[in-house]
Amino acid sequence: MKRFQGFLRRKGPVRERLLVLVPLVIAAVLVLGSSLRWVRTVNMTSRLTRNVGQMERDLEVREQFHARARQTAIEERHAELRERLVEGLEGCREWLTRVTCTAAHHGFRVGIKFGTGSRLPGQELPVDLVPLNLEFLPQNSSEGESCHSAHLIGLLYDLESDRAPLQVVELTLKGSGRGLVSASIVARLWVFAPPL
Amino acid sequence: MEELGVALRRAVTELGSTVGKGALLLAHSQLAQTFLEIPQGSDAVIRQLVAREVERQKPFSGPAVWQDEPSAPYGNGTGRLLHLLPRAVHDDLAAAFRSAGLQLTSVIPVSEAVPELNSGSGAAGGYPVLVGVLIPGGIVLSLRQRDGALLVRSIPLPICDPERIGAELRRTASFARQQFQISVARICLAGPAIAVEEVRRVGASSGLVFEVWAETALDYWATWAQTYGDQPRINLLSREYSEAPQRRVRSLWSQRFGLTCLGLATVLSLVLEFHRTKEVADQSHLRMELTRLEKSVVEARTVNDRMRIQALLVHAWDATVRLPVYLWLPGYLAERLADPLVVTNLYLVTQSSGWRLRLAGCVSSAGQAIPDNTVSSFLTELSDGPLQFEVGVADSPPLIGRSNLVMTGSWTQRLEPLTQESRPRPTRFQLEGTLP
Repeated sequence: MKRFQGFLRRKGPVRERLLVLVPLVIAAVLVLGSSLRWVRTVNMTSRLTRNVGQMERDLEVREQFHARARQTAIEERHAELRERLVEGLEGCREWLTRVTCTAAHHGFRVGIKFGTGSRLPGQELPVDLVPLNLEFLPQNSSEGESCHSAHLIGLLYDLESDRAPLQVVELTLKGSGRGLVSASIVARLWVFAPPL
Repeated sequence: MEELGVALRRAVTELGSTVGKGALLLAHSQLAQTFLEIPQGSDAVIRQLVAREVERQKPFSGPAVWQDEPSAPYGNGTGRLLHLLPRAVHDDLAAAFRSAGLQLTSVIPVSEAVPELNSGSGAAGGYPVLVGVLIPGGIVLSLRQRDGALLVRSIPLPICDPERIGAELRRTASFARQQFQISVARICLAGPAIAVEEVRRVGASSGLVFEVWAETALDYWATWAQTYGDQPRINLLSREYSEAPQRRVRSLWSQRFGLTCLGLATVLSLVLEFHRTKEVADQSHLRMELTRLEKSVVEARTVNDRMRIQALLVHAWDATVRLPVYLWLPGYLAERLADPLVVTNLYLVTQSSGWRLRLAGCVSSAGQAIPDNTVSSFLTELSDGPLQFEVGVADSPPLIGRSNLVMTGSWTQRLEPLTQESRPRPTRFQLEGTLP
């Protein structure tokens, strides 16, 4: 201890400098450390505030979209349309059977030609638009006779009221002057084609 | 030295002094003065040379405190007078003053007082003069020229021994003759009257002539010290010690400054920490809010994506679907169609908006011509409905007979204008129009 005190007495100016420098260094470290921590915290807060603002704006935009969609009853209409879609090959067969029966019920024979379906663009749902050509002939047309157009209108009404989404593109009626000879419909059938 | 400390404490107590400072006029056995011959040079060089000579010539071991002064010129030579004191003695003196609560401001060799004695008494006797001042415990000898001292010696010896004093005076005079090639013009002696008289008597018996120069009073040294001033020419007090008060003050203020900075920094740190704590609390609220919003946004995004897909499908359906006009159009036409017209062909096709309609017909009796105004009245019937017909065409049958002989497109056909009767009437009609 005495040796140390002797050293301190000999190194008086050093001790004096240390007595000044040590508090200054501690003060500098304190201020620097606190400032850095504070600045980092403030930066973090501002980043969080910015993120919250962005989230709020994002949410607001999405809620506006929701409101517009609800106004136009998109969900209900989509559900209705989705329910009406003919589903796959089996659905097409069922629909074909249904149409044939309906046509027979109204006194028509039906000839159907399917075209190559095209995928509805921009959809995540695999919806194919299948072009088809429906040819309705009166069941007794082999004798060259015609039927009243009222039968065809009844058939069209039944096709329209069928839940399958059939989109009529062209309608051609041919008559003999005394009655309907043939009716041809070019249409597109909306088919839900689930992945195999 | 302890005795000095005791004496000083007593003096301070008895005088009730509050000055707190003290100067010391020192006559000490280890206080040495010596003459140095130093070549010419700058002050720094001279100081280095003197420091080297101090280490070489000091008559004691250990570190020394010293101060030099230029000596009076002699012949062609220059020199310096060096005053030396052991550092240990210096520290002891300072400690003794400190123990009495006094700050030692100067340590002045007693030889500094000799010129004052010299100037106080008449110097008309001429130079060089060897001045001897008897002091308690010794004699101080100073060989002086007109413009300063050449030699100063402090010799510790009892002043009650006049033979030794006389011998020292003689030896000093001889040294001056040998060293400086000068002859002492006179010897002046000062000091207590009895001692001076005794020395003069002994000196006279050995051939020395003394001037009794001054009788120093008991309070001479104190009086001299008071009049000497605050800035002595020779001060053996070390620089470290003399600057110690200033250094202490400087150190104190530096420490205070450091501590103040430390305090301010601590306060600032606490303030920053307080704000940081608030910020952290805000952050936790913000994080909770962010988590809630993120959850809501994720949900909304899921719903959004689903709705967007739904909307695409619905809009695609809306864009392609048309009103099913084919359900009511045949019946509507049948109601409006005037007898004897019948529709034989109906072609309905979608267009960008609505439908495009083309219908054709004839008279119910096959091959008959369409009566006049029948088609136009049919069009009039339809005009108040949703149908908008753009073109109405009535087709004529091919010409029979002569007309068949004429080549189609021959310009000669125009040479014979057709009469109303000869113009064939149409048997079929065709209409084109649109439906919303």
